[in-house]
Amino acid sequence: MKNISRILIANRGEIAVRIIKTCKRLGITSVLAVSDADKESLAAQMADRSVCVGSSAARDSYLKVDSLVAAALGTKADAIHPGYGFLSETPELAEMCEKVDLTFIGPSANCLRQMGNKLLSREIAEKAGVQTIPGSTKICNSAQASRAAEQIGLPVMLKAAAGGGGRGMTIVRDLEELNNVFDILSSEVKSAFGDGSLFIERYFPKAKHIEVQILADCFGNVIHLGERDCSIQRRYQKVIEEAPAYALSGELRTTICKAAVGIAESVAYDNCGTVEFIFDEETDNFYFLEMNTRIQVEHPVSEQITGIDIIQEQIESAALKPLSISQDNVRIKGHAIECRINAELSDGSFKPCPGRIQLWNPPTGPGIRIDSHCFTGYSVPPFYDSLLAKLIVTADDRFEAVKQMQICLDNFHVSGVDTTIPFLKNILHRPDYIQGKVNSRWLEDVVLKSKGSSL
Amino acid sequence: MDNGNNIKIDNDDLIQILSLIDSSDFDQCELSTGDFKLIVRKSNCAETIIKSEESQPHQLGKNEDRNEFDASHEMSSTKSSREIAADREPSESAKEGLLTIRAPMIGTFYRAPSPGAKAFVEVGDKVNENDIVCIIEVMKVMSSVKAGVQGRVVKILAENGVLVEYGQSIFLIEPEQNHEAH
Repeated sequence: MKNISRILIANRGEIAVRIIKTCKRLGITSVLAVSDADKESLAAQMADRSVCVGSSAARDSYLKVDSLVAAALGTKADAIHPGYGFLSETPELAEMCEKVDLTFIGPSANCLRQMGNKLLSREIAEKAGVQTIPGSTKICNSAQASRAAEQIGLPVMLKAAAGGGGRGMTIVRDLEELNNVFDILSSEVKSAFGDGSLFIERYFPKAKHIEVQILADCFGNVIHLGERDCSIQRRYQKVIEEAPAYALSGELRTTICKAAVGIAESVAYDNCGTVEFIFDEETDNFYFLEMNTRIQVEHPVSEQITGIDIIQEQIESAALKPLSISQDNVRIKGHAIECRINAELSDGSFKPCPGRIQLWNPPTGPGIRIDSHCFTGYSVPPFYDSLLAKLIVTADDRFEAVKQMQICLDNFHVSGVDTTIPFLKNILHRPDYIQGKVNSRWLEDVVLKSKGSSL
Repeated sequence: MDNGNNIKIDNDDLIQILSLIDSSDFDQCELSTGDFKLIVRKSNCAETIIKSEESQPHQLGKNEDRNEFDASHEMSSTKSSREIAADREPSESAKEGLLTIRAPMIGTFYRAPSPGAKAFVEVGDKVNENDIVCIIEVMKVMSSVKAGVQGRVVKILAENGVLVEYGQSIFLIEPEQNHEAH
């Protein structure tokens, strides 16, 4: 067992606040790494100590491995929690931590490497006996791409092996388009991710995005906390997430969760993670998409229906303790929905809208959870993502949860910056959404087209 | 939303504006609202009206390869910039017209090139822009920090061998006597 009594949090915004809360509950001292722009943030006020690691641009602060490790060593932290985004899935940080005897709160560098490459992770899933999306191996040129696309059947998804976070992929509907975009995407991802490898997968236009929350420790225990449905997406970014995945039959839920656990076991996975799948409602087939090796934005919906603090389990498994629960003790109760509230222009452009929040008045009450770093008077900096808050409601069933969410959105008052609240309200009142007749293209193809918004 | 045209700009807004300019490719920005006027030029431009620590990462980037940092922070004597300095660093620097050398990076602060060696500077020493005043170590990489300003060392604000944060004040410098007072 390793001792973790002081954690350096290498992140910002709502997830930094979230991690500090668990640290406080566990009696762990929190040290927050902040950029120049975040010195006065809510997380900085809540942490036991904050330390400025660099200027406002993320590349000079939250993305600087050596500065963050120096900050952890200099403040005598024994562990680093990377949160999500930034360096959370960077093997170099995990390796550097190991070298200087710091605990990286996340899976081993080896797991990060294997799962961070989409081509490699496909192979791993196949070896674990899980069906992957019909697709190609690495493709080197557009001629090869055309052959693969014809074999797989158009439309296809052209993807970067090193991509992530909704970047480095594009839908291709015909061969001419494929020819045109291949070189562009290849050079784009080369400069963005340092690896220009591309591959092709069949594209399912009417599929749901289903993912399974995994918890694992260094003793080989792997459990799941059920699934989430994250089909409401815009440009591959999740907008609304729910748990459990209401569209799946009980039998299918068991099968998909087992598949996810099997993949994690096959790589000796040892922290929290998420295995993502595409679920084709027409055939009831599911296909492995990718694995995310970090805490995810939407983790609260799984916490709400299981009562398990995933950040706590992350810290404990990093401290080489066994998981505090076994699969038999995981009870799924009720239904939770999360809406991501972003500071974005409400004119249909979804452009980020930084600025000072003049009024911040979120709803409160039983079954309502707000994960946020915002407050009245807070100035949303222009340097980072636009997430302001996650509004999470939990009720006995989906119908009640939807009703509750509608009310909560009506009672969420923000002024000073534009937010996505009106957009979320619109979605929550659509019959398709209420009845669950949605897929991962629904938001863009149905809602945004009908609103006449430019995409 | 009070009155129309006069946008109120406070300290935080100013810091954001400066950061934005710093991370942009622009060299210069002029902004005026009501009786408030702000002119910012990056350090390599001729007439620096306001030059605060926000211009530092820019210099840092330029010198990064050589591991040398110019930590100059000239504060002009215009009213607005004085207020920023006082607000951000409520130290004696603003009041007495002293200049602050700030840490260009997070790391361990060393006053001498090696343990037991003579310190780069002591209180009372005269420094020129290119004089090395200290070393900051980040993960075994030693970076020397240049004064970036001319004057006499009045106070050393950081302790040898201790972590300094990005932007932390590490030296107070009394500037060379200026003939044209304004």
